[in-house]
Amino acid sequence: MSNRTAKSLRVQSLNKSYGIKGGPRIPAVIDFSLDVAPGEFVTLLGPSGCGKTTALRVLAGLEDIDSGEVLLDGRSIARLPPHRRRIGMVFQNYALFPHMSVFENVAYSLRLRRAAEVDVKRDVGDALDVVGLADFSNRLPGQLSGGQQQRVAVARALVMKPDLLLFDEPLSNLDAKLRVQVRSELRRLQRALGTTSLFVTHDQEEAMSLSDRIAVMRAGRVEQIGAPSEIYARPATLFVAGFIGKVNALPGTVVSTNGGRATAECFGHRFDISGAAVTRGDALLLVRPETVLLQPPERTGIAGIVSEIEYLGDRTEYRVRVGETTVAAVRPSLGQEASFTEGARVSLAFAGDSIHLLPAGSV
Amino acid sequence: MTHVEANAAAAGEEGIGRNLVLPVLYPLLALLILVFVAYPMFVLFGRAVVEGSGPPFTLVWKVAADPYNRKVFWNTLLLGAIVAVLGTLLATAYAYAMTRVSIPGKKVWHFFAMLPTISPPILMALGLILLYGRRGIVTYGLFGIQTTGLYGLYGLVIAQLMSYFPFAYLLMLNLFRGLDASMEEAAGTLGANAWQALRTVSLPLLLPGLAGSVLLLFGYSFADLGNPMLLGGDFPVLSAQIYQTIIGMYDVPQGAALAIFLLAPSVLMFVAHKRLSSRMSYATVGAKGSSRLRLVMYLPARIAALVLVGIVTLAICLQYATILAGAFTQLFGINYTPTLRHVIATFTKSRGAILDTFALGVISAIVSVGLGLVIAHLVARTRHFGRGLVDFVANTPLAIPGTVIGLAFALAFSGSPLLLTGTAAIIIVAFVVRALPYGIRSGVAALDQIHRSLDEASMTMGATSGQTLWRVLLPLVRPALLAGMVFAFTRSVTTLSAVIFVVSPHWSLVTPTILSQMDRGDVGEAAALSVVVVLMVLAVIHGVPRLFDRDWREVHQE
Repeated sequence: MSNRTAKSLRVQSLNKSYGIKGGPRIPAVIDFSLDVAPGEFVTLLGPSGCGKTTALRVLAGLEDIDSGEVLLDGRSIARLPPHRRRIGMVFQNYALFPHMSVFENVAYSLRLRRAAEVDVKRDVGDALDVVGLADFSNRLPGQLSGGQQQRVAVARALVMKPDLLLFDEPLSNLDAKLRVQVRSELRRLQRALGTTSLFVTHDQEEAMSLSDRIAVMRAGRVEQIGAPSEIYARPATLFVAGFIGKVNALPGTVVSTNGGRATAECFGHRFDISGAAVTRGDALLLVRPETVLLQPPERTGIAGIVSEIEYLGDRTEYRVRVGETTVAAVRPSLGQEASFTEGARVSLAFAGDSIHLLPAGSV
Repeated sequence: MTHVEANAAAAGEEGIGRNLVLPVLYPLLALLILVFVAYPMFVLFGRAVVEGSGPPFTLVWKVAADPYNRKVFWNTLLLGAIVAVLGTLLATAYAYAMTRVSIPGKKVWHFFAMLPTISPPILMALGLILLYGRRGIVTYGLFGIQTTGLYGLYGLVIAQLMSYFPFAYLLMLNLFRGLDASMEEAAGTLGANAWQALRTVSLPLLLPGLAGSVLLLFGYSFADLGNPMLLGGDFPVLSAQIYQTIIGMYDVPQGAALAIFLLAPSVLMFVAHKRLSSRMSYATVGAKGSSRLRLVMYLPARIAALVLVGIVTLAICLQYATILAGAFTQLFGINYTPTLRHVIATFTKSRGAILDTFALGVISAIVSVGLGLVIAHLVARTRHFGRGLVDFVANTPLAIPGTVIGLAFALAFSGSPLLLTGTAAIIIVAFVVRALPYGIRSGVAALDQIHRSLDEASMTMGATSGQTLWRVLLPLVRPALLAGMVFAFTRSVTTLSAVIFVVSPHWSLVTPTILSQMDRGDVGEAAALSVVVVLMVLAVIHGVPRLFDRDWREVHQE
């Protein structure tokens, strides 16, 4: 049941606000624009209340749009009711109809279309096969586990061969282990079917593992859109950097720029940084903890004192005081390797190409 | 013995002493319930089954074989069925309009839909007679028709619909509000339009609730006495027939036998309702959706909804306005001269009835909620022997029509060993027994709000369960209990069927007084007294929480 004709989605300057009786309108989504290529998997990532779910619900037609345009395959759908959009949605609580069997839940959209019984049987069977629940078609949703319910919800959305699939935090009600498993299943499925998909989550790991591209949202606005690796390596703002993984934001100064390269000074050391588009002056040097090298104090580098050690099994996190600043560093736990103790003097080093520069005022 | 040990021993003895409170209280409670709930029903059965020298059940068979009685029985079922089905349809449509359609003035529509729930049902008959009776202001005054068309099945259906549909509306309102919004949203994304989503998803989910509403209305229609007595005409039903048999023909055994035939279907309905609500499990699959449902904005739907609630509200308003007008005119239907005569008469001649009703209503409200709380605590928080039985027996009055309870009381307490006839006690007991299930319900609801760990914490600090109830739980549950008392009061002062056999010249009540005023043709006084009782209930509903409870608003958002 592969979708050979995947559709593109274009969202232009979408705005949505909520009114409270007798109060001002509160903006939920501000000037939201997004282009999703046919077959692409894009995630809206952000903390709760950032407007990601509202954006998704507007796209599904569950909320009215204030202004802006939504084009699905070049066709405007912004003012269509949900049932005429051909958009499948997997809800956070799955929203399975408790009074219908698994089969009837999945068959629901086909029955509304008055599809022939043979077609219903075949398509529902196919959809349940895809999610591996063919043997459960006579069960009621209440008799399924959370993971199974989630898969029924996916099958129900797939069976209508939607132009666009929306996922509203569909993994958040699963326990941690299952979440990882279902996540990779979902990714495999989407790749195989090629349906254009939009996924909402607040879990950065989920977003990274699933998506072709991620749109990081904050307070109703899109902060940055890009491939997971790009967002991780080159965050546009300090917020994005901090939301996706841990980051050291070290104060420094850009002393010279030359084309795509810049030289910045930090803790009295100079770093040659590539791909930076900043002007001279104060700047923030973003350094991921895993790129910070911890060395014995006699080596060249930035001198510091280990103030805190957190052992996490597969890795160990260190916090190192350098003057007024604390720098985080992570080392993989490799067997019996000698590690530093709290209070030990160390020397820190990081390569210039692992540094990302942001303007000093970035938040 | 060291000092510490002595202290511990003393504390232990003290604890045992206090713990006696509950083991003593509970048997006493069980005894009370047996005497005042179970015993009267046994007496009633006895009178119906064992009569004279013949073998048992002779009379019951004779009553059942009588063609007239059969007709009355089928009439009762027919009326109940019509009211149950129409009332459920009306209530569902009204609740849908109120919860799901964008219409203005919802507070107003809700207020007027709720008004009948706090009025004596007999008011509906009174209002209908003034509006559409032989000298009705609409039928005769407006169209000049002198008709008795109101009396009989149609009039009864309309009166009972107006009296009881609000209870079903309240039920459906809560069900509609409880629906998970994401259900219809999911249906929408799967291609269902609003109507299809309602038909294929929401209504099937509400089906148990709809059936519950049907059974509820059936029960109310069965138990109604006031409307059939005033509007029955040539369409006799059981409750009125029982009253006629006892009061008109002084034939107690026959009345008791008829009561059995009123009781049996009511109990069946009740059992069916119980089984149904215990299986209402659907609506709780998965987590609750976070979003609220969008209101229907489709203009024809909004207009239709507005027309529906508008017509119902208009009909209800007309009733109350007419009664109000009737209270201030010489003789409504014949002489429309304004007068204060009836109002004055109400506060002189009927003052006793008003004061008695108020006093007995307040006393029984406090008693029923107090007892209800103790029973709720017994059932939910202790493991005393027989708690299930106490709970079951205390809840049986829900299944018993008021007429039957009233008759059972009159029979059981008219002689030794317990002579209560003519006293205030028999009225209070009748009120309390009828309100007790609601008292228990409010007690259970109140206790449910409190996490179990609170009483466990109290126990670990050395409190007995009695102390825990008094010092920890009671202050927390006060708002719910006040609400329960208001409800019990309302139910007591508006009932006619349960008290008609137990009132006496010493202790008269408002609803039987209205009935006898109607019988005498004192329409004005009946109207004036009706206005007073509605105002009294409204004052209690709005006054009590404001006077006694700061937290009222939090508990009752609606």
